[in-house]
Amino acid sequence: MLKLKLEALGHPTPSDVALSDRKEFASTVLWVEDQKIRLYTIEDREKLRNIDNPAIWEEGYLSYCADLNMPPLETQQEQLAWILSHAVRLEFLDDPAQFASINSKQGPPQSNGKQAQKRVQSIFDGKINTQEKEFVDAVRLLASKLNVPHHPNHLLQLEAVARVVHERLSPAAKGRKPVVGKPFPFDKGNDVVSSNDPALDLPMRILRLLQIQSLRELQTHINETIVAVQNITANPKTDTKLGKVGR
Amino acid sequence: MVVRPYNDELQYLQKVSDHCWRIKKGFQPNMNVEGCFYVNSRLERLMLEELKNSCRPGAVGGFLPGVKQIANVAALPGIVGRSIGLPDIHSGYGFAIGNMAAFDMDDPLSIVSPGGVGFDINCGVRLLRTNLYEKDVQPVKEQLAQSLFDHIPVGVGSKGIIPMNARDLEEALEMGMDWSLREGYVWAEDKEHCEEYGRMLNADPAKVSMRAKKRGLPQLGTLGAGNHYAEIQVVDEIYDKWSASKMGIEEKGQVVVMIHSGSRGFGHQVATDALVQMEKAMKRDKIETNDRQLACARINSVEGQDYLKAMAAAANFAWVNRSSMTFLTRQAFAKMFNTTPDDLDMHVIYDVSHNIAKVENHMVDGKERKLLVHRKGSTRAFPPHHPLIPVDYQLTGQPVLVGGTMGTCSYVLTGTEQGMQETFGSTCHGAGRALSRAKSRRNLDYKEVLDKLDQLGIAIRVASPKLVMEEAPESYKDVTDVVDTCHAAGISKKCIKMRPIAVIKG
Amino acid sequence: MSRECEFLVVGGGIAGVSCVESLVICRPNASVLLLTESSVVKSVTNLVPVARYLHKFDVREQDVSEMGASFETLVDQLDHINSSEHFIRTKAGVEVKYRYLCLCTGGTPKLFSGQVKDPLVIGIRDTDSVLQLQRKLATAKDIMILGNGGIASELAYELKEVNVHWVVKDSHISATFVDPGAAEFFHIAMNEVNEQDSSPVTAIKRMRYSEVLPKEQTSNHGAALGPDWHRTFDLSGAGERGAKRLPKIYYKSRVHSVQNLADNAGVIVNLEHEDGSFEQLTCDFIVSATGVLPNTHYTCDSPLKYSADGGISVDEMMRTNLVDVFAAGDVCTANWPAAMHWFQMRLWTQARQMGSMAGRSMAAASEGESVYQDFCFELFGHVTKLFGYPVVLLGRFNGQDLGRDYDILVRCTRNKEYIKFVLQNNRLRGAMLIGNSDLAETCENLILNGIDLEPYGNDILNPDIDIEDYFD
Repeated sequence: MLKLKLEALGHPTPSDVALSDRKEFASTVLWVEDQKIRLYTIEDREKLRNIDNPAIWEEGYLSYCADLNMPPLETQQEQLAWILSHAVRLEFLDDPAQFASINSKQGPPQSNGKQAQKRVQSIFDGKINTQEKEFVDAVRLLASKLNVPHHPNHLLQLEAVARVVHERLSPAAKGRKPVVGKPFPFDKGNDVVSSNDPALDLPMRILRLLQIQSLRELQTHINETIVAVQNITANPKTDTKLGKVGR
Repeated sequence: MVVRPYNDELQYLQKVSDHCWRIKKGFQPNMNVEGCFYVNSRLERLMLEELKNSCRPGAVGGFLPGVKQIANVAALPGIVGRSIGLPDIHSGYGFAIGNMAAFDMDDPLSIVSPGGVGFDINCGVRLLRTNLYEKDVQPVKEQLAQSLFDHIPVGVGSKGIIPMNARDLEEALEMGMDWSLREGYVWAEDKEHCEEYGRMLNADPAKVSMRAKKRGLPQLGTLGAGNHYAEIQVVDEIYDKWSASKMGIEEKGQVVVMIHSGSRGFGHQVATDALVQMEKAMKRDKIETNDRQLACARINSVEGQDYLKAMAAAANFAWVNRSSMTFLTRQAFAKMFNTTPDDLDMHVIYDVSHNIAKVENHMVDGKERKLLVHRKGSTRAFPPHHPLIPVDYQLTGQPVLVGGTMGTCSYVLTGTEQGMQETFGSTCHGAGRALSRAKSRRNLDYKEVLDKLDQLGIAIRVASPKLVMEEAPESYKDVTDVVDTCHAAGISKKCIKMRPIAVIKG
Repeated sequence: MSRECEFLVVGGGIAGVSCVESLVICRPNASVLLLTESSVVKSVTNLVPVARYLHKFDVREQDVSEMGASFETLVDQLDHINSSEHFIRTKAGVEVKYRYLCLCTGGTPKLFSGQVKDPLVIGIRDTDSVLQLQRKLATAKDIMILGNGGIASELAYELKEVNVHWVVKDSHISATFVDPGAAEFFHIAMNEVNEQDSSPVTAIKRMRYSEVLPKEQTSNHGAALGPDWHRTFDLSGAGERGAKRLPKIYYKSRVHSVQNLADNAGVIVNLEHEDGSFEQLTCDFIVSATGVLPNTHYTCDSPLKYSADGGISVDEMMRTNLVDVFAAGDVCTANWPAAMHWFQMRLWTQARQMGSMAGRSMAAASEGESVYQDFCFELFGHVTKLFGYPVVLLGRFNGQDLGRDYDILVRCTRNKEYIKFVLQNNRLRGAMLIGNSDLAETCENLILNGIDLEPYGNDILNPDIDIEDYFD
């Protein structure tokens, strides 16, 4: 996956990046900042340039991560993946039109963020500035407490937080019985997605499951509607629950 | 029909894999595509023997061997891919039973043929599960069977489960299972687990003759079941535990109910009416076929469209029938176990059609094409994630219900990606009854009887067995052989095996 | 005294009860009244489909009071119909106002009328006459059966320990149902099959209900017998026990004259054969089973329209010429353009079908709905058991009305099965299936579909080929 992202960003040797090597990791981070992210001015990148001096570089890297608003991630690999994704996103936002041809028909993802913004703002009725750092920090904190994954758009993240609260922590949810039964055997089943690329296989499976879940919800709504209509149209003497018709 | 010595015929057949044979062009005249059939070694022997018997001199008769029928279908205009014979193939009117063929909807010359659907339109199988076990049902199975399809004139209040008057029938033909739903005889969830959601939208009762409508209505005062049968079965073997559990089948011994029925006389009349119309259309459009029974019309012709609309009405009618029987089954179980069908978890696992023609999209030579797929004695078997299968089976693939002949075991299979690619997502439908399965050897004897009949002064013919049967073949195609072949060939996957404990023949 | 109801059905036979049952199903909340002469009525039970439009069934007799509360009954006899004012009057003087009326008054056995004293001729038609037969059999050694239909055939075979003289006008037995070939098949089977009489000799199971009947009631008006009627009766004569005797059959013969012996000891019958010769027989009594005449012993304000055979003429919805008056069963005659493969025969099967059709048609009329005529009137079908063999008759099974323009395809296995296809222009027009053939439904479809059978030739009945699935 990292390789794919590096490739997408135009890294000269995407296949050769060995992450186990501290120096190589450092130089990759520097390359991304230099070429793509450009969060700092050239002068401010000085510390990151000290690839050969681990102590100084490390210090610079930590503040860089903080300045990028990177969520707390454990391994360097995860951190690099995040930085690369961030870079890809910036690249895309620079000129979305350029990717229009390969984009799905549903419109660019930032519209998603805009919708979230609108929704959140309508809830707060303009009384809170949702872009304020304090607000953003609070959302991030809440998210990390609830183990909600990071999203660059804190409003989307807030939505996810809201959902977790609604589904798991609300009074209604508390009374609900936990879902029982065997957990879904992820790797089994008859659907082979892409046997030779596990990196693609897993997310595909997850997406499909999500799609199936939403289809299931739709179908359940349809069934509920039918039942509601049946109450009006059916022979009043019929009770299908009891399997009885008539007197 | 081309008559060649058996060895010459074999030149046109080629075994391409352990379970698949290829029928080359030229086996029958004017083949547009090749044919193929799926067999294992036992079924292969039966298939070739049947061909061999038909090659003997003097054996020219009306019953063509299955291979020849596959090849004749391959000569129909507009056919794409291959004309495919499933392992349970046996001789039938026009198309062999167990033959599937797809025709390109965008080719103006493509045809639709009633012989490719069959007379009993939308004959199919429905499987209901229960949360009962064999030990619960075994002691009361006779009573249960009795009450399941009590043919005593319908009691008070049963009116309406089956459409009885003209208006009900018109509506049922148009709405299919939605009619049963509207009247409140089935559950909303039943619809979800039905091919086409239990309703073909292009049905048009106006394209159905009055005679067909009359022929479809139930016999006076009864539910008049015709050739329906239902079986109470128990799960005997689970091959794919995970898929089975998605269908609500958890353990061996669990009780299920299989309902096997179609559109009764209604379908017969629709098909008969269409055959008459199409013979005229063939003359007009100069369509030639190898076999007169393969009467057909261009899909876009008036006759073709009328047939498809009437066929859809017949299909809807069959779903209403299966729904009515579902209702009766639930009623009988609820009464017997003094509880509700709900508490018995009597959900429809699935409902398949094995005599039908449908418009489907398939990949042909790497391109998506819109096809009219004829399945006669063949079941649709779509792979996981196909948009046309219910959400509950998106991960398992479509359940395929395969009934044995009455009294033998039955199977549930699932559709596979390979089947989608090789057989347009089709697999077998049941046991095959080969031509020469005589139930008991009969010693024909006419002497005295003919003497007496002579006085009528009417021309008398007598039936006789074929000259010599090289060996008295027990050529019945066992459902287990059939299913194993489909599994081995990869066109569907074995999931559950059931055995019957009580049979209700209608 | 007067009563009122929406639907009035007259007659407690199969047609009447089937009609009432249909009405109760179609109009569960309407008032239905059954007027029956006997408090014991017949209904259909154990209905088993043989093919799609063909059922076999048993007939159950029960007291009207046991029929359940879904309709009312009145034990009395119809005397007069006033169709313009919609009421009837019974013999006992009860007036019943109705909205719709259905006449299912059945038929009276055609009795051999002549110089014979009444008790020496029994018309086998209804349960009461069977009881009479049973009583008489107990002391009889020789009896004569007249008639060649279903009941006569069954009787000839079922009677035990008595010498049976069976007089038929045709050249073969059971001519109503079977052809000479089949008759020969039966004949051979009767001689060769060592009959292990499996049906145990059961005394009459039915209890005699205490019937509250008007005095003038005669036993001639009970409801008709059902199929398999002989199962419930012990029909043994006074002859030697255990000796199985085959009936002696007199073909192409008719009764010329009869002479009573003194003290009702029996009759001397003078038979006339076709060739003009005569033969004299002595027997204890005569059983006449020669068919029925429609039973219409009531008056009507405006004349009912009758057909040539004396039946009330009805259309395809079982309507008579009088408004809101329907008729069904043996009393009526089908007067609609008959379908290609149907004809009327006064049989249980048709009584039931007509009764149900009338009920459904009346219900539809009352609700302003339309119904189609039932498809069973498209194809003649009858199931019976003759000489121990199941017999299925379909369409023009004896080439009825086909002249000589047809051919026959036969398959026969001695003592096992006799299958006959009646073919015209290579289309199946009728079939006779004797023995367990499993072909009934296939034949039904072949006849109705009119499929060209030319390509199959004689192979269509090839014993090595199963055609059941082929036309699926």
